[in-house]
Amino acid sequence: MANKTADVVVLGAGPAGYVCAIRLAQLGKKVTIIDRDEIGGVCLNRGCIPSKALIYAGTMYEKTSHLETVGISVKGASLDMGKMNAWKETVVKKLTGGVAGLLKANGCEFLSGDAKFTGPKTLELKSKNETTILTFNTCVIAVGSRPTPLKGFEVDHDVILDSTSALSQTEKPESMLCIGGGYIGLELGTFYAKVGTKVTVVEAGPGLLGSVDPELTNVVKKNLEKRGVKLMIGVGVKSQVKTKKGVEVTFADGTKDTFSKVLVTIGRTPNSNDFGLDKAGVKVDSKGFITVDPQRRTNVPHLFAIGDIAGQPLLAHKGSKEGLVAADAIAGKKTVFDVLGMPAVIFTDPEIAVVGLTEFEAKEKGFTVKVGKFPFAANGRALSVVEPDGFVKMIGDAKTNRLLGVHIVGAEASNLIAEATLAIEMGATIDDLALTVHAHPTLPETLMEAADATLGHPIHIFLKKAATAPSPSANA
Amino acid sequence: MELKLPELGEGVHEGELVRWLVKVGDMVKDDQVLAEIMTDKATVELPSHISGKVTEILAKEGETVHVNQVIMKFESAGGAAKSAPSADPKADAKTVNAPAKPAPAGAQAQPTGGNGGQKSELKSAPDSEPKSMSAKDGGEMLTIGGSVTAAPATRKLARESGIDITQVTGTGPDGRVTNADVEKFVSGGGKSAAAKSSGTGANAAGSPSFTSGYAARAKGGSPADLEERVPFKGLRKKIAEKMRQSKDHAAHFTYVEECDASALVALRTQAKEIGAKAGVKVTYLPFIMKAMVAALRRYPMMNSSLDEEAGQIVVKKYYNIALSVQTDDGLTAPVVKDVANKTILELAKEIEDLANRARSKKLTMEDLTGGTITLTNAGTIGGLFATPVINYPEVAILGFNKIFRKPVVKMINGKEEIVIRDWTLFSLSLDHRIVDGAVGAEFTKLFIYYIENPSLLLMESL
Repeated sequence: MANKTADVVVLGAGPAGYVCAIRLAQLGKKVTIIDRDEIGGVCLNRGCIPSKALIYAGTMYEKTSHLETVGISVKGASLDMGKMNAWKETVVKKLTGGVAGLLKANGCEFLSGDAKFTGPKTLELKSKNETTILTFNTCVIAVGSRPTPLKGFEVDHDVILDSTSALSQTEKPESMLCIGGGYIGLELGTFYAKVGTKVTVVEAGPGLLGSVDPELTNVVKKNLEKRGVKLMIGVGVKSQVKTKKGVEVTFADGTKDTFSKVLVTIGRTPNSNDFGLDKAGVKVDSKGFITVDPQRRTNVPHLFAIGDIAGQPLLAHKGSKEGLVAADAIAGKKTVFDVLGMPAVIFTDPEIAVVGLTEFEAKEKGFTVKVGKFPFAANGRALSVVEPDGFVKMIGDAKTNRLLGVHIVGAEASNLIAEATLAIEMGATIDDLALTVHAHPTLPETLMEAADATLGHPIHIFLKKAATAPSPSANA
Repeated sequence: MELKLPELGEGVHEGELVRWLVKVGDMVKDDQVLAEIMTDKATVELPSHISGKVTEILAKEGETVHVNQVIMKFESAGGAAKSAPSADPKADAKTVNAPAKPAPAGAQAQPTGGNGGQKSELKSAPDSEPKSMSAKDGGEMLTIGGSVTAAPATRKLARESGIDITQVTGTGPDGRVTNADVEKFVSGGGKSAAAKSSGTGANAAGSPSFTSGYAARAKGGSPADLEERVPFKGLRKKIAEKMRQSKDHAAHFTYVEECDASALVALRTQAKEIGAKAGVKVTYLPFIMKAMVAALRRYPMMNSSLDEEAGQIVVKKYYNIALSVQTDDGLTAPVVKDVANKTILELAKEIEDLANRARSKKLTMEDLTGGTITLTNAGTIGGLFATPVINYPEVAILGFNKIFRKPVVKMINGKEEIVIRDWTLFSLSLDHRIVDGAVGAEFTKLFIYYIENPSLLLMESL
């Protein structure tokens, strides 16, 4: 058994871990980064990136077949899922290769293998041929999460899929049941619907996309239905039997249906059991997330936790930010995780992107809110790219005009949210957004107009209520 | 549910609530520090025994709070409190900061810093573990739509300058805190804590709204620019109370005598080398303490205190010498226990440790109690001599002043000659109610005899 020492170990090379490792190296630390799988974690290999590649391809395929309105007719557009999948792999490889190169260039040592804590300052690393005892000074735990299993619907990656296997199908399934109407289920469900699979989404909860403002979800819901996706909301699944035709699923309401594939996306579970966290003395909460302080330090002072393992929201960019904070803290800098606006983006059709408080949350926090909305249908660019669905909803503090939240459903919402995030982080007022010139003709004009609508005087829509008209003193 | 103030230490019934570290609406966890409370002896951290949400804070900062007083109300997380705090007001308040002992005045002392202008080589103990930074340390966490607005870069600047951004007055649109506001706060507008990190504010150049104190004066600025109101609380208030108490009770009398320190200097030089090999920094103080003990044995009244209630003078037969240490927060006086039975190296090591811990705020209640007489070292700063204030209820304090080279007349081989010697002055303040001036003078004479002839201390150790 070999022995090895390290200064800082980053356990997990996903978007939290690798970002942390690079920043640590920039700050002069000697970094060892370990992962049992590929560099890049779930995000690059089995999550954000491959799914976005497929969603893009699916959208292009669908659009190609529906261009008659703009005078283009494409005949014989065909789909080769195998090829699409291979292309997706090249995107993933390019990115993970890039990250590997960056880690190397920054002098970070990458070790591959299964690592487990054997004590607060030691890890046992099992790689292909040998076991190494690694002694370190500081460790950043970035071990991520995995799909939550569903009893009775055990994933076999053949007919019962999880998000990982759903991203590697080389043939188009005839039909698919997505169990769970959260963002992963809807993103992948939308992709399969676009390539021609008959998709059913079953959600046991009261609505799709959990905490997202239902006003936004409704736009997505309508589009899914337009696409022929069957939505079963408030219905659970009971059991399944594999038949020759596929999987026969019995729903909680007693009905039965058969699908060629079943995709289980009911959530994600922190990987807190696989790494000997108890041996290190690290506390986890009842859900398995490691409890951390504002610097992302665990209850053991030389151990940090970042990314999905450190709690909600389970978002790659949240993990990356935590990685930067933890790296600064380890380098002795005065730093805390003080993010005001954590954006969340969902690649449905149209996309959803939110930052800040929802109308409901703002009211709950005691704000008197003013709300303004602007539809994409009134935006020149949206119309000229045939994307008229959706709107921007803006929430402001009626007393101070401070921007509290921005909620977008519509084309390119994922890109549009950046401006709103900066505005919230800067403590901007609604007026700041309304007074900033937005280039024409672009989609971000919808944000400026929504701000104007919140203030009562949008140009490209007419507000009937006199009460919301601008008073002369409002801008004084 | 209610949170009652637990017992803070033996015989401690009340303390001043220096600072709340949580506010209404905060979620607190088990073991999280809720407040800092200053007792007679030390500042202690009040840890939480609850997990829940703070609903009401009932004691103000600066207020004196009593054991069992309800100081906070909270909603416990998940219905039931993990451990009922009001039912179990057990003290495990951790001592973090001890500088609450009276400050022997005139004693801006650096106990291990040698003498005669030598620089103190004390460094705070190296911290192998990275220190945790609370939300508070990093400045108050802002919230969306909250009362304070600042851009991320401004928040970072404040954190790095050691400033709580919520304390900064914003001059930007809608009261937004700008970089210039933070820089102004750092460079003098703000609190003393902020002033220390003025270095970071140096790159203020070019900020249009940056106004130095001088500029404000030149423009005939408002009184707010020309004066600063610092809360009179915490350690400063405690020192003030103790000083007043000492001056109100003891009948101060100060006696000063000069002393040839040449032998002491020579001895210490030798001892320093021996100490260095053992990894101990040997200063003059262990020798002075030993000489004090030798002289105290002959004049026991100097090592006493007055129990006014009982109408008795308590003469102590043990020798615990308190040592004044200047810290960033103010003066403190940790106690070197049982000086009579410790070797020079043991004493040197203990002095170094106490001084280090005083500066890093890690003294315990135990470190600060039980003194029988105080030694203060004013020499590192200079001055001819100081007239120290007695560390009440002790009855005497000895001031050790700077050692300097001086031409003196000495009888050598029956002939008077001018020679250069190491010279110093010792100043002794005593409570004339208990110790007469003549006794104090005799004590000083004997003490100096030992300092001038340190080898005779050997007679004492046998």
